[in-house]
Amino acid sequence: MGMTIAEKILSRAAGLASTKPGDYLDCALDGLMAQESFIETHNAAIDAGMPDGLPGAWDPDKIFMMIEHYQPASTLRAGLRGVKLREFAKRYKIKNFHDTTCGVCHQMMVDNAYALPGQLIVGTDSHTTMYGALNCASTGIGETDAGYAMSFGELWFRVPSSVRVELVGKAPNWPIGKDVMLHLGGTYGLDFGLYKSVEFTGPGVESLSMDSRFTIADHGVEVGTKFALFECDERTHEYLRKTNAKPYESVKADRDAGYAASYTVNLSNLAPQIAAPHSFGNLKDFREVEGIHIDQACIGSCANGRFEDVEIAAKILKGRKIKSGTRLLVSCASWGEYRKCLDAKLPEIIIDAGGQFLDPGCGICNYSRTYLTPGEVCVTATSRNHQGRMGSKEALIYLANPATVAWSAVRGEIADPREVLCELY
Amino acid sequence: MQSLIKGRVVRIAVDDVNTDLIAPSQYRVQIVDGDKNLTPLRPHVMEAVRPGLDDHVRPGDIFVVGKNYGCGSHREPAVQIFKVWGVQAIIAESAGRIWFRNAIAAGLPVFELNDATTLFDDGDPCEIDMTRWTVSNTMNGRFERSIPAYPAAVMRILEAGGIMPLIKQRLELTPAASQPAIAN
Repeated sequence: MGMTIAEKILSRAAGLASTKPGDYLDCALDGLMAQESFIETHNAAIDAGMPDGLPGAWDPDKIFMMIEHYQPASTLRAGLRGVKLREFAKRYKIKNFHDTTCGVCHQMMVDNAYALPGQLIVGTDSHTTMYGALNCASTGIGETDAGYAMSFGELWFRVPSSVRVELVGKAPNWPIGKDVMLHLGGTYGLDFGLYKSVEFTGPGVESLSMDSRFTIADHGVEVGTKFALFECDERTHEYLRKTNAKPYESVKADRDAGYAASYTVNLSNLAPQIAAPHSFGNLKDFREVEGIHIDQACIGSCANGRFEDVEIAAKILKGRKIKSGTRLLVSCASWGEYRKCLDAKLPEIIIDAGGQFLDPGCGICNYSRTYLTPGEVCVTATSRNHQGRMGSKEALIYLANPATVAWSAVRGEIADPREVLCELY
Repeated sequence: MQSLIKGRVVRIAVDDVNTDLIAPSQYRVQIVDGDKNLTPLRPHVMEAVRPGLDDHVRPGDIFVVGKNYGCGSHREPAVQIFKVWGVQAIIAESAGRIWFRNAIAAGLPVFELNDATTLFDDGDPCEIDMTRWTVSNTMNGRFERSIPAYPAAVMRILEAGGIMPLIKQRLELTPAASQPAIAN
């Protein structure tokens, strides 16, 4: 039997000709992404009897360090973590180090072409699955495993079974990545991809922008996946050319590869989806949630902080005002995405409408820039609507695509974006 | 690690308990780096699911939890808290991938048993036998279930006491010339 993308990448990384689901492998890594939580790795190494922390890095050029999670710092702890990561980068001679001005780590990994097709990369953040949009088998790990990866460039993996999501039809003119994943999570359960590699394939893929593919792969972790993978097509190669990627070898699944399950999503008639508190899978029909007052609306993060997400918001907001009593916060995933928005003059549209155009970073998705007080309601195109994600556990977070968020901000209440999308397109 | 684990069950019969619920950010980020007791977080662990756990849990307890436990972010305090409490093991109907990996990396055994929360009540005595690979509820000898044996890759980590001790072992066995080092 042939092999899936995950089976091919993992067997190559383990130095084997083939492998199958359930096998346990020791794999050589192509990269490690570490953010300021690396201090936890360092402290754990000291506790384990390595007085100076880890003695070295297996290959400093394959380690990508960034100060980004709670940056720019607004607390002593976040500030000190920045100080420590700068020290670590210097000590371990990490060239690919980005200080506080970077944005979200995952967008940095693709903006800088650190993650490439066919590679196996791990990172200390759950949304590391995002590079799967570039055909890179990438997944999140904790700070302890990161110590092993840093020291030896290896980790153990169980070969996941693979699942196919066949995308058919044609994507509309607005970002649809969020809706694809909310639909899958809401329909098949938050564990439908648990321990699995999900491959997105089918004739609909070519109509999906790279930005939407990143949203889909990023949200792989919301349905449990180890990897969320696409094959490369002309769009992928073009994206990689623009980021000056080094030569790479992309990986395709064999025609007779084995899949544990197969699902179909029709992009042509997929309606905007909305997940109610406190779960990614808690889908509601718009008729059930329309009219609920919102205090805050957010667009950004590794899930929805790219150009097309801001562009659709700007198209909806142009010539309109955000309803008094509602705040709109927009934050790009990186300065690269921010610059694309600047060039297209999108920030001024957001600002003219009464929104706030924040600096890039994770703060739009953890509460550091978005704190909700008890009883407040937010609709957000970010990564998660878990209870307490944006501060108070008595706050309510609805998760939706950026068009829904922008239109809801105009209306001051949860609103179906099709009301305005049909005017625009 | 010992191959026979006995303890009192703490049962959380809720599915999809994510790491934002286990280790809420607003308390997690108050942990001073190096505070191994996770002091600001402890009283708030899983409070939206089951308040008062910090007072209830005793060293030696075994948690029995629902499906997809620990889904969501990669944060390690969501695993470390069980070590801080002295919890010996966790039996999950299924576990979030990164959370499972982090537990093994911390030397905390996690076992999967797909109807675990229906087999135990809170406070029941539980035995996990890692020689015969069984889980049993010893209240009136109610039942015994098989669990899959850990593969060598996982046993190696648990036997070392976690990934960090394993790193130390491997470094000690590696000739100095081949050790990872800081280049000059």
